[in-house]
Amino acid sequence: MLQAVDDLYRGQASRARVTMSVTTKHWTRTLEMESWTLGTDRSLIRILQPKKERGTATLMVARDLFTYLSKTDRTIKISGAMMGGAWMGSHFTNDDLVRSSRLSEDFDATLSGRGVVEGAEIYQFTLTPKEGAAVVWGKIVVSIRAADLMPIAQVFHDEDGAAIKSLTFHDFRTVQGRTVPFSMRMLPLDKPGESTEIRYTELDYGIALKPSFFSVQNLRAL
Amino acid sequence: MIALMAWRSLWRNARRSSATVAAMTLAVFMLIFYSGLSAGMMTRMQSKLLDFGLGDAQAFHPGYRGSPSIYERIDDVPNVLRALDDASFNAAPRLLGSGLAAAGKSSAGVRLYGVDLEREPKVSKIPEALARGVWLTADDHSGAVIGARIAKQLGVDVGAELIVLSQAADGSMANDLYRVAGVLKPLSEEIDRGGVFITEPAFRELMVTPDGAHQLVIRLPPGARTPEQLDREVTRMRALIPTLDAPTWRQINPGIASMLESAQGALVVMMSVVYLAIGIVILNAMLMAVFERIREFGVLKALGFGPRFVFTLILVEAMLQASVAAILGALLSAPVNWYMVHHGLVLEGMAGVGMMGVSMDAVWRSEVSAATYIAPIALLFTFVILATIVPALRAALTVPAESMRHT
Repeated sequence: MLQAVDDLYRGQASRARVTMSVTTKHWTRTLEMESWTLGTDRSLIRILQPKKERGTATLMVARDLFTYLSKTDRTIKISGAMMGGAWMGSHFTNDDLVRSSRLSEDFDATLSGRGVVEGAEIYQFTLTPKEGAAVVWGKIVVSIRAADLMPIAQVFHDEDGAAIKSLTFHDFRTVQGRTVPFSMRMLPLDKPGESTEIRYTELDYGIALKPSFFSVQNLRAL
Repeated sequence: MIALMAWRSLWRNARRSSATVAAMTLAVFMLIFYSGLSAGMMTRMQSKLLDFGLGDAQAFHPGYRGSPSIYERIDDVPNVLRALDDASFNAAPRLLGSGLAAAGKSSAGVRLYGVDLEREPKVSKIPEALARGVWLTADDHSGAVIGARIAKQLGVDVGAELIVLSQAADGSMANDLYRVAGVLKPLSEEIDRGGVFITEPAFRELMVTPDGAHQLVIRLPPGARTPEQLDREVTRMRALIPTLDAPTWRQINPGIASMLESAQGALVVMMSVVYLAIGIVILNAMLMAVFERIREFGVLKALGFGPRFVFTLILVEAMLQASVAAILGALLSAPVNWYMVHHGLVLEGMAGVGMMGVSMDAVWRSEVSAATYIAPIALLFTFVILATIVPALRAALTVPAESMRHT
């Protein structure tokens, strides 16, 4: 079932346009981005708007993450301390980005509850880190709709069990035979009023992409 | 007459007397040398601490120190600076931020300092403390000066390219390319490990902070030295900037402040331990001297000299030895101290080693003042007197008739 969640956004290949709105205490901003994915471990995301950051892009291949900085025309590999940093100024960390597609690799899941939310039956799983997995979370509580196994929420807890942030999925639509939440919202629970929302404006599964598309060279060339 | 008698008595057993004097001399010499070294280290640590970052005091937006953030800035920097200038306090604004620096394949977390090139040299010696390269210049905003360890960690040196990455105040991705203009000497834990200095305009552009400053580094006028004078200056300084949070360096770094303060106490303890040992030697030597001469004291008393005379005689003998030792010790240590003040001890291995957050120098110099000599000598006399009381009492209380039977 977790595999199903993991595979949620990934068809064989996809291209999408996305808007990301970030609200913090000090500022609000909206980014327009274009993204390509192949399988579960290759993705490339590029900023279209605002102009100042246009061309800045992130490449993920397996667990490696690279960022191309258009302003300085340099590519850097994100590692170590940088993994915990905010991705493109949002409430997602680089680490969230890399891990979100691979929950089943790092976590053991146990069914911890069933219930009915907004008229739909859901399963609730508690994910605990596998031994030796280098993860920052103490546990993640995942809620999945029973009817179609769509995830509706993930709540991230720290090692003391306190809820730190919640990721919720909304606006489920069917595109080329796949059901996909068109919007997801990350709420940092320690910072009330702040949020990041990512919303698809276009999503296309009908394209073919080669693995070579997801290269550091292409990160810059796009 | 007592002094003359005491002096002659000492020569009657010249070997013992000179052994005692030698032990005392050695102790005095060593402790004078050691207090100079210790004072040198403490002064150096404090001035390094203050000159390379802390200043005498700092000022912040009231909310900054509780939760440092790029948004908590001192707004009215020009007026604040003018007020401090007019009252003859040197002050320099700094912009602070955290970010990541990347070079080639390595990256590391860094602390960004946006510095005012004109004012920074008035409050800190960072601009002079370069191991290689040059300090920032006003006509090149792409230059960066970085700490010693961060340079090593990133594998960069003068001329290398450095990418700095952070989140700007408007939420955008701050990133810019700098060239390493200079690498600093080891200064402090914080600067060595993550310090990246860029010009104020460069910081403002990178982090989108058009105005304000996060920190003011303030130096008190150099005339103030005693704690009372310093307190008065701090009060005067705070009155000029009542809306800001203005901690002194002691409040910012209480650990080192209290360590430096306790260093003097530690020195006295150490001296006391050494003199306690010396005191036992003296006690032993004087007791021996008294026992050998018990008949002599009997004769003295029989001739009508009172116990006070005998007591004083023994005390003067001890004091004479201590005086000779004090003079010899001071004379011996003077050239050594002179050398240590002017040349110092070269300890290559110590260079860059962190101690209480301050990076040590390769050269350890002494600092010598009147106290360097007075404290060890004064303590010597104190301990000599204490150690002589018992033998002197023994001698003073000699009963003539019994002493004659003494063999």
